[in-house]
Amino acid sequence: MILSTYIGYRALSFLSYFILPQHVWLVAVGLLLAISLHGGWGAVLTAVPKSHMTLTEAITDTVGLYIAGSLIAPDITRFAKRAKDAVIAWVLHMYVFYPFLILGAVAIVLLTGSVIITEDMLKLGMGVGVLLIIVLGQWIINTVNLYSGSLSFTNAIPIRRDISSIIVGIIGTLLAAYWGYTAGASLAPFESFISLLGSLLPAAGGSVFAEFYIVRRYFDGIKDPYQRFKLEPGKEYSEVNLVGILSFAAGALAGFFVPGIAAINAILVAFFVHIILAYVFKKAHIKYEFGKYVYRGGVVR
Amino acid sequence: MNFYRLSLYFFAIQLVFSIILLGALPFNSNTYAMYHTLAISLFMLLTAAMGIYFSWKGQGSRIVADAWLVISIVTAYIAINVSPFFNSPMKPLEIALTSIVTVIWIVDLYLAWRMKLPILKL
Repeated sequence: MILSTYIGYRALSFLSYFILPQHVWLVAVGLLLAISLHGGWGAVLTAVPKSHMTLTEAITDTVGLYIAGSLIAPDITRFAKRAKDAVIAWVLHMYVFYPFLILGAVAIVLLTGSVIITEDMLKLGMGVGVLLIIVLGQWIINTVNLYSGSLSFTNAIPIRRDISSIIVGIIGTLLAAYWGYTAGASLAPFESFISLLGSLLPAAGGSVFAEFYIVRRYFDGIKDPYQRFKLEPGKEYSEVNLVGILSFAAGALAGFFVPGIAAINAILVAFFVHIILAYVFKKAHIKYEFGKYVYRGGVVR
Repeated sequence: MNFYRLSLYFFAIQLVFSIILLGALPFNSNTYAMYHTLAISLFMLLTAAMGIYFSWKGQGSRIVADAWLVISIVTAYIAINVSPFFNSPMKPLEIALTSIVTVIWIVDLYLAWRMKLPILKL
């Protein structure tokens, strides 16, 4: 996985092309078999969950499972030839493939009571298929995550992206080994982490929305959306946006402490706090962007 | 031998294999295995037709992409079909034909690599 990330986007592209069709086939056949063996779709529709959670908890956990992926999506979609291609890819993924996998997994859980699909496939004797799902699925997911992690690391510490992928990969492997060693087969640390992400990260989305749609558009008067975050070689940009950090912190706190749906609270609070703070700072002529970053041009691969 | 001509032959072999698998479906005693084989047969049929067109037109990068796609899906099929759950009289034939398809596309990709075609840049 570290080696794939070291190679960069080309390895990601190849892995996606080779592994994803195989993955979809394995999961689809496993799911269809498990459903047909446990009474079909009728049984799925009439199934009653063994344990319950509130709707707000469910939304927070669902958002938590996905929000990190949403935030790092531009790391991949920036390679699209046209903006339209990125949108088409995202819409297809969001409304076709992801619901297919999630609804399929929900059907299995409702029918069997087992929260691990691979266990159900193992009962059918699909050991090799399960092995492929686990190994290849982890490979592609972790490569994408490590790729985004290495890009973020490169933004924070100016080193080459391929070198940062090795550093972040080793740190990530050690952390994963530690959690794996201490938690064993328990999913509890993962569930806690998902809840944490669901409360914390949506705030980042709120800040970005406010900056793009309100601050740059109305406060800075940049009408063309393509110009609002455009990077030009040789031009200086700030490294730290204080309003962004403060609004993110406010949104994250709202996600944790305000009752209701954490993800929506965090996004809304971060969005409005960002607008208000940016307005106040600009009216008071207080500089809230610091640091100096000179964009050198080119695309980091 | 010319890479495009050889790929054309390979796709023709795959086409024949997919037709054999479709013809053997009624002799399959296991319903689940039958539907699974029906799915892979239709997939092989479609990709063989596409591949024949690409080979005819001399589109090397599309042949490579097609070969990778076939290897990806057919290996998934084999991985599932080796399960005892799919036992049926036709199983040895199904596994043999799909394994041969996997091997011929690995060979084809090797030849493409020898010909300096970019087999990892899809």
